[in-house]
Amino acid sequence: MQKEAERAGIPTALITAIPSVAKSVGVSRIVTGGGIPYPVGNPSLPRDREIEFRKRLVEKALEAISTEVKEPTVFNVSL
Amino acid sequence: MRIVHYINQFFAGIGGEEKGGSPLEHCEGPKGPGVGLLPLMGSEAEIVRTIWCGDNLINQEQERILSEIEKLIREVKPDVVVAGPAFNAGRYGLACGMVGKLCTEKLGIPALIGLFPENPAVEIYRKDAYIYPCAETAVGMRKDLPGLAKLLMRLAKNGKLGPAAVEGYLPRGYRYNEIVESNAAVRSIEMLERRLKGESPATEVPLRTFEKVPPAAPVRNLREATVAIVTGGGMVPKGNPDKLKQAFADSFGTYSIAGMDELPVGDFKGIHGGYDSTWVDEDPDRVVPVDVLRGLEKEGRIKRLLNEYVVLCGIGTNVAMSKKLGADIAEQLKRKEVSAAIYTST
Repeated sequence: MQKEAERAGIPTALITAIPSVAKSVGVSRIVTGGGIPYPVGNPSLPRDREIEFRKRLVEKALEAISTEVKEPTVFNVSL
Repeated sequence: MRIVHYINQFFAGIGGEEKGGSPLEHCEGPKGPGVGLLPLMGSEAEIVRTIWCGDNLINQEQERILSEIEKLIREVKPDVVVAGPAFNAGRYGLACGMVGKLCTEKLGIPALIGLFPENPAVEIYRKDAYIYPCAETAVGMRKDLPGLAKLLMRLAKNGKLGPAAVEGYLPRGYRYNEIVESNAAVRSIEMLERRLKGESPATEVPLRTFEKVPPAAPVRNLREATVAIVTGGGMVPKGNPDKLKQAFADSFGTYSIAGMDELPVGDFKGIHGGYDSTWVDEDPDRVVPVDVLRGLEKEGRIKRLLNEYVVLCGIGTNVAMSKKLGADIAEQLKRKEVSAAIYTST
């Protein structure tokens, strides 16, 4: 799905807990997410820290979208 | 002929997505698909152990689970290991690939995996284990098992298989030297002649299957950007107003988030057929991050969050349908003058 957006000229970032799959199918900008059933969350964190974590993931996605890439590239945030 | 079989929690009869975190377990003898596989292999074959694990657990704690699986396989000294069939299941396919790779690389035991040829695990693990092409869903199990059984027996007996095109497994990307009568110049002219006659001779150098799309140019100035959220995570307004399918998506939904500072708990619900939605139902922003994007919009870090998000259930969708839906979504985003999009997938 992302590839079609890229083809149409819209840069995208995919937040996923399984970056290896995204990379193998050729997604350009990938951010490693919090978990399979919660890509932009982490229920084990206290609420305020979870929101902070989500913010970092989304900021990383925006950073990825602003970055020139030539091939599938994985961006990571630290916990 | 001693065989170890790896399956997941679903085929072991433990449960579906809600059991994705279920522990690594095993039994002596066949279980699930192994019960159907065994009689197809003749009297010398024996499934000495069946091992299973929840798909989420093995993917999230790969290292720990694989080291336990390694012990379980070593204990029974199999001639061959079979995993799946996992059809087009994402995490189950990956789990089978991991087990196959473990056997080939670390244990020196040949491994065979059953996967739908478009399963993403094929691209990752095709070099690490033999992959038998299976149907897209478990509906094809009955048709797939005889071929899988036949190849498994050949692999157990010989320790390896001949060329993919002859044996019927998916090409692994290895090239072996072969003596042929005519040189490349002669063969290529022959191929051209056949093509001119309207025939379609098989290429000697097949290309990889996933199409490469060059990345779009990055956003230069986020402060001027309209950002959209697209998710394959199946988070829809309560009641699923457009009756989106829970798997094998053939359409997508577009829903308003105008005036919302977050996705309100209770008004939105996860309907994805491929993962347990407990945590995203507790907080829908865990899959559609409206809260933090609204915050970034207020801070002026982005110009605007598009006041609607796009959703479907990304599971078991084949490449052709994904392309079509992806293109339709892209066109809709273009029309709304979106500068960039954040996709989330589960």
